[in-house]
Amino acid sequence: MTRSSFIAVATFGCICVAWVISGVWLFVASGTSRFEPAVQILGLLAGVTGILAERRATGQERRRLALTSLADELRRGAATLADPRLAPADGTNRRPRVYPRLPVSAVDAALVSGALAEQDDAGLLGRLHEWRDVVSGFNRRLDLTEMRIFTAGAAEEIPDFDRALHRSDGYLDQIRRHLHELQDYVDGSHPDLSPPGRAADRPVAEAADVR
Amino acid sequence: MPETEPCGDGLLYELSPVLSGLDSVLGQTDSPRWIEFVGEDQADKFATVMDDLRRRHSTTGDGKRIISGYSYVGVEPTIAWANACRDRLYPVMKQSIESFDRRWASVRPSLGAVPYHYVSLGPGDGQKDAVILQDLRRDNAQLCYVPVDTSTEMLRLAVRDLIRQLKFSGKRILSVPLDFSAQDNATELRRLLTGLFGDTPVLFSLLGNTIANFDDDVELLGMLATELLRPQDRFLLEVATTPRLDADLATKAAAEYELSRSFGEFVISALRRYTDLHVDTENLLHQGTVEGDRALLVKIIYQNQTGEDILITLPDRANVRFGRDDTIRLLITRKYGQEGLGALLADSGVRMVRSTHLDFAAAHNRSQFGMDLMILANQPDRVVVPAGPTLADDVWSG
Repeated sequence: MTRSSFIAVATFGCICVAWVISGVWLFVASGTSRFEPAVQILGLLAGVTGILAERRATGQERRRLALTSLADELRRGAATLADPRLAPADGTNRRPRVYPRLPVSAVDAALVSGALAEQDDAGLLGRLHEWRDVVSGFNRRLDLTEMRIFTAGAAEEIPDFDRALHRSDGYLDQIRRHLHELQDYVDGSHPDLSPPGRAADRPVAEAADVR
Repeated sequence: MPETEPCGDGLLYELSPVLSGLDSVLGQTDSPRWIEFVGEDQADKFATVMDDLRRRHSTTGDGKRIISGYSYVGVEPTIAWANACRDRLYPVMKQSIESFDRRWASVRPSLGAVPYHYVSLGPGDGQKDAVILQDLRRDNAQLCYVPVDTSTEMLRLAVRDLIRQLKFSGKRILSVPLDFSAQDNATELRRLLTGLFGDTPVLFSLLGNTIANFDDDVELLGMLATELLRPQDRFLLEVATTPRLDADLATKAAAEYELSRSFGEFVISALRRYTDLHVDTENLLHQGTVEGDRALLVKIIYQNQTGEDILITLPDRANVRFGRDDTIRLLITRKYGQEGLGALLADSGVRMVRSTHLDFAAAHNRSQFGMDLMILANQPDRVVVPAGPTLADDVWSG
C-alpha cells in the first residue's frame, strides 16, 4: 500500500469509527443530550461529502483547462501548417527561410499533469503521445534543413529541400492529415471545446492539403 | 527596403547590392558589357589537357590528344577560329553560316509561339545564335541568352559582336564558361537554369556539327538530353551528313578540311598553346575513315616526321618525349550517314520534332556532303533512370 493510500484509508477509517461511535451514542442517550451526537453525525457527513465534491470539481476543472489549451494548440498547429513560409517556393523566389515550428507545449502539459486520467481518456492519451512524436520529428527535420541551408551554405539545395518537403504524400501531407484526425477526435469527444471559428479553419487546412 | 526585379513569370525576387548595382550599370552603359557566371576549377581543366598530352605512343592518332573544347581555349585559338569562319576557301563553314537563317526558318514553326529562353552550347562566333535570338525575342520580350563554352575567350567573341549586332541588352545575357560535356557540369547547368527561369521552356542548341567532335557522341547527346531536357524544352542540333559511307567519300571528307589554311591554323593553334613544339604544317595529317555503318570519321593529327625523338615541354614545365612517328590528335569530326544519324538520336533517347537538310552538292557542285538542322525533344516514353536520393530526400523521408 502506498503512503497516500494509507493516509486515505486511515482518514476515512477514523471518520467511519467516529460515525459508528456517534450512532451508538445517539442510540443510548436520551433527552437533550441526543443533540450532541446528532450534530457530530451531520458534521461528519457534511465533511466527507464536501471533500469528495471539491476533489471532483478540481479534477474536472484541470481536465477542462487541459483540453481547452490542447484544442487551442491544435488550432495554432493548423495555422502554422498553412503559413506561407511552409508553402512551396515558387519560381525564382527560392531564398533561404526560417520555417515556423509546430507547438507542442500544451500536449506535453496535458500528458504530465495527469489531468486526463479518466477511463474515457485512454484513447486520447494514446493519440497525444503519437502526435507528440510526429511533431518532434517534423520540427527536428526543419532544424536539419535550416542548418544545412544556412550554416553549410547550401542555398543551391533549396529546390531539393522544397521538393522533398512538399512531395505528394510526403511528411507535410502526412502531418496535416494526422492533425486533422486529432482535431476531429478532440472535437468529437468534447464538442463544447470546439469554438465557432473551428469550422471556418478547416477549408484553409484542406486547401493546403491539395496544394 | 530591398530592391526587386521582375523575372519572366511576373514574380519578384530580392537583389543583392552587387546584382542591383550591376543591373543599373548594365542598363546605362553603351559599350558591350554582360555578366559571366564563373565557378569551374581551371586547374582541373589544365590537368586534363596535360594528362592527355602524356598518353602513349601511337602512329594513328589514338594516343596523345587535345580533346574538343580545349582546342578553343585561349586568345590565339579563338582568333584563329574566327578567321576560319570567315575563310572563303573553307566554303562548307561559310555556307553553313550563310544558309543558317533559311534553315532555321524552316524548323522554327515547330517551336510555336511559346516564349523560350535560349542556351547555346558552344556558341562559336555567335553568328548563328544571332539569327535564333532575333527570332525568339519576337515571342519573348524577356528572352535571356546563356552561352556555354569551355573557352572564356570564345564566349567573349560570340557575345560581344552579338550585343552590337542585335542591340541585345547585356542585362539579359549570362555567359557560362563550363565544359558541358562533363555530367557534373551539365547537372550544375540545369540547376542554374531552373533557378533562373523556373518552368519557362528553354531552347538548347549544339550547332556547327560540334557533337561530331566528341569521341563518344551518343553518350554526350544522351547525357545532355537526360540532364538538361525537360518535356517543355527543345534541343536544336546541327550535324554534317554524307549520302554514303565509303572509303572514297571518307578521303573527300578529310580533303575538305585540308582546303582551308585558316582552318589548319586554328587546329594547330592549340598545339602552339599547350606545347613548345616548333610546329610545321607539313606534319599535319588529315585521315578519313569509315566508322562502322554510322559515319565518316575524319581525324586531324600532328605527326613527328622529323625522324628523331623530340622533347616537348608542357605548360606545367614537365617534359614529354614525342617519339619518332608519334602523333597528337588535334581534332576529330564526323559526317553522319542517314542510318547513323537515326541511330545517334535513338540511342541518345531523343526524338526528332522537325528537321531540314542542306545539300552542299547543290550549292557548290563540288562535294556531296550536307548538313541537317534538327529540333529534338525528349522521347515521351523514355525510361529515365531516376537520380539517386538527395540529402533533402534523406532528411524528409518517412
